[in-house]
Amino acid sequence: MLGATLVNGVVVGLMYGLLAMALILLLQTTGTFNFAQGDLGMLVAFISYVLITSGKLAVGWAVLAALPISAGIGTLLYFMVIRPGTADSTELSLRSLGMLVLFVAVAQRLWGTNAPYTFPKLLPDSGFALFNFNVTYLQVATLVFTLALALVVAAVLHKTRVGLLIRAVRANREAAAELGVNVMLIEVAAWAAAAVVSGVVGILFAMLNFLAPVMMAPFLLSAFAAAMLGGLYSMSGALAGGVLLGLVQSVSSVYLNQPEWTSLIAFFILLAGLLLRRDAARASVST
Amino acid sequence: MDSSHHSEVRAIARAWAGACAIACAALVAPSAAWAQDADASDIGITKDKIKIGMTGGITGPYPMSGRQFTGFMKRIFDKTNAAGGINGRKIDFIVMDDGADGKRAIDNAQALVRDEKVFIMSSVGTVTTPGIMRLLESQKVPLLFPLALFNDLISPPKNGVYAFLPLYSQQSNAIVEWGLRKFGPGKVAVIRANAPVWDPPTESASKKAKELGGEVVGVINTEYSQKEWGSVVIRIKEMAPDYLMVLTTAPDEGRLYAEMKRQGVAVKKAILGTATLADQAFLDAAGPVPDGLVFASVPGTLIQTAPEAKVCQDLWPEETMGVYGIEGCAAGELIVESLRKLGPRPTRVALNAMLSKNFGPFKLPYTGVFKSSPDHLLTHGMGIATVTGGKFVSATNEVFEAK
Repeated sequence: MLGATLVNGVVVGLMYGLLAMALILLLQTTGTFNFAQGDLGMLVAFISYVLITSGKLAVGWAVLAALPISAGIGTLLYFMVIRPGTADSTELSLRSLGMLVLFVAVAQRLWGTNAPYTFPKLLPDSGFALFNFNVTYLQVATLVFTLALALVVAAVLHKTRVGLLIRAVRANREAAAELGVNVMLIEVAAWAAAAVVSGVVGILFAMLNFLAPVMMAPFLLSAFAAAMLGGLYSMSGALAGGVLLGLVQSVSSVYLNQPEWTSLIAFFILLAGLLLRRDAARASVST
Repeated sequence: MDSSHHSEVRAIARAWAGACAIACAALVAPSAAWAQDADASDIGITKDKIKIGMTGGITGPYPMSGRQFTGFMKRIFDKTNAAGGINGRKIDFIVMDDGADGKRAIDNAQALVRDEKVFIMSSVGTVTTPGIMRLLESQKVPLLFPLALFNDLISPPKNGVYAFLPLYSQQSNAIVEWGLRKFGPGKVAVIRANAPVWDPPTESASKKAKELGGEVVGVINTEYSQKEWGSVVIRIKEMAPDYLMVLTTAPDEGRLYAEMKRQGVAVKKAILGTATLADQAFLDAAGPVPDGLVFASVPGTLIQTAPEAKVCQDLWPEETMGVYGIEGCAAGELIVESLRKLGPRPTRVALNAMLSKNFGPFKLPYTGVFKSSPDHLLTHGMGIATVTGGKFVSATNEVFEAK
C-alpha cells in the first residue's frame, strides 16, 4: 500500500508542481504573483470544451486552437488590466485577484449551472502499473509536459537573448527602457506565454479531473505552497515542492483518513515558507 | 384689529380643516387599502397572486441539483398558471441563487421573507437548509418540501416544516437492507463526504449492515469535489469489500468509480447508495457501468427514466431530467395541491393544520402516495433503482417503507 500511496502522491504532486511552475513563469517574467493564473486556464478549458461540443472540433484540434486563444487572452489582459495606469507588483497582484473573481463569475454565468463537465480525453484511460498503482498515459503526458516546460523556460530565460531581455525588464523596467529594450513587447510576450501555459494546464486538469468554474480553487493553495517550497523563482524547486506536497497529502489521506488535512498541510507549508523565506518573498515583490 | 382678528380666525379654521382632512385621509386610507386587499388572506397572498420563495445552489460546486429542482418546479407552476392558477391566483415563484453557500442562503431567505413577503418558502441544499429552517421557524414562514434530507429537518417534527421524501439516513438504511438481503452478508466499505449531514446515514448503514450479519470494514472520508481519488481507491483495494456504500454527490461517486476502473479495483457484490447516486451525473463521470452492479434507494419511488415520468420531462424537453428534476416536479405538484386544497382564502395557519393532519392521499402517475403524517414526512415509500443499459431504471416493483 505504501508504494501505491507514494506513486499516487507523486502523480498528484506533479499537478501542483505544474500549476506552481505556471505561477513562477509569470513571477519570473513580470514580477507579478498572478492569482488568476489557474482560473485563466479554467476559462481556456471551457472555451476548448465549447469548441469540441458545439464547434464539433476533434479534441486534439481544440487543444491546439486553445494555444493562440490563450495567447490572445493573455495579450488582451495585459492591455486591459495590467498596462493601464501605474502599478507596482503588489498592485498588479491585486489586479490579478480581481481577474480571478471575474473569470470565475464569467464561467459561472456562462456554464456554471451544468457543471461539472467531463472533458473529453486526448489519450485513452489505459496505462501501466507502478508499485501496484496504475498510472495513465495522460498522467505520464502531464509529467512529460511539466518537465519539458521547466526545461524550456529555464533555457529561454538563461540561454537566449529574449530571456536576458525578460530578466532585464523584471529587474529594472526603467533602466531596460533607457537601454532601448522594447519593454511593452517583452511584457506582452511574457503575459501571452504565461497565458498559453495556463491554458494547457487548465485543459490538462480538466482532462485529469473534471471541468467546472471552481475546478482550480482546491489546487491553487497547494500550488502556491509548492512555489514557496521551491523558493519562488526556481522551476525545478517548484516541481520538487509540488511532489513533496503531493506525497505528504497522499500519505495523510490514506493513513490518516482526513482529506481536509490536505488543504491544512498546504496552508501550513505556505505559512512556514513565508516565514522562512521572507527575504525571497520581499525580493519578489520589490523586483 | 378686526381684520387681523378675522385673518387669525381664518388661519385657525384653515389649520383645523387641514388637520381634519389629514385625519380623515388617515382613517379612510387603511379601509381603502383593506378594500383593495380584501382577498389578502395572509402575507404573500394578494387578490391575484401567491408568492413562493426559493433559495438554492443554482451555481457553485454542484449546481445540477439546484438547477433541476427549481427548474422543473418552475415549470409545474408555469403549467398551473397557464391553466388559470390556484383558485384564481397565479403563482409568483421567486428563485434566488445561493451558490450552495450557507450565508448567502440565509441572506436570500431573509430577503424573500422581509422584502418579497413570500407566503411559503422552499429550498435546495442539505448543507444550507438548516440555517434557513431556523430563520423561517422564527419568522413563522412555512418551509415546504425542501430538497434537503437531513435528520433535523423533521426530527423532531417542527411546526411549519414538512419533508416530502425520506431522509438520507432512511434511504441509507433501506438500500443496505435491500442489498444485503439480495446478495447476502459481506464486508461493507463506506465512502462518505466528510460533512456532518452524512453522519446519520453512515451510522444507519453501519447499524443495518451489522444487523444483517455484515461487517463494516472501514469508513473513508472524502471532500466534496475531491481533488484526487487515487488515495481513496488505494484504501478500498486494501479493504477488499463486498459492498461499497457511497454517500456523497453523484459526480464524486462517478469519479470514484472511474478511478476504481483505472486502478482495476472492483467490489465483489454491489455498489450501494442513496438517491444522490441515481443520477445521470454519476454515469457521465463514471463512464460505462455494467448492469446489475449499482443500486440506489429512490425516495417516493421517483425514477426519472420511468415511462410515467415523461409528463414531467415534457415540461422542459431541452433539459435531460435527472433525479433532482423529477423531485422538483413532484415537490411542485405537491405545493400546488396543498395550496389548492386550502381554498380561496389560504393562510399559513390553515396550511400547517392541513399538512400536519389531513392532507392526501395524493399520488401522481410517477410518484408514490403522499399524505400527512405525525412525523411531518409526507411519503415513507422508497423504490430501488439500478443501472441497466447505461441508465437508471427501477430494479423492483416493491416499495420499501422508511424506518
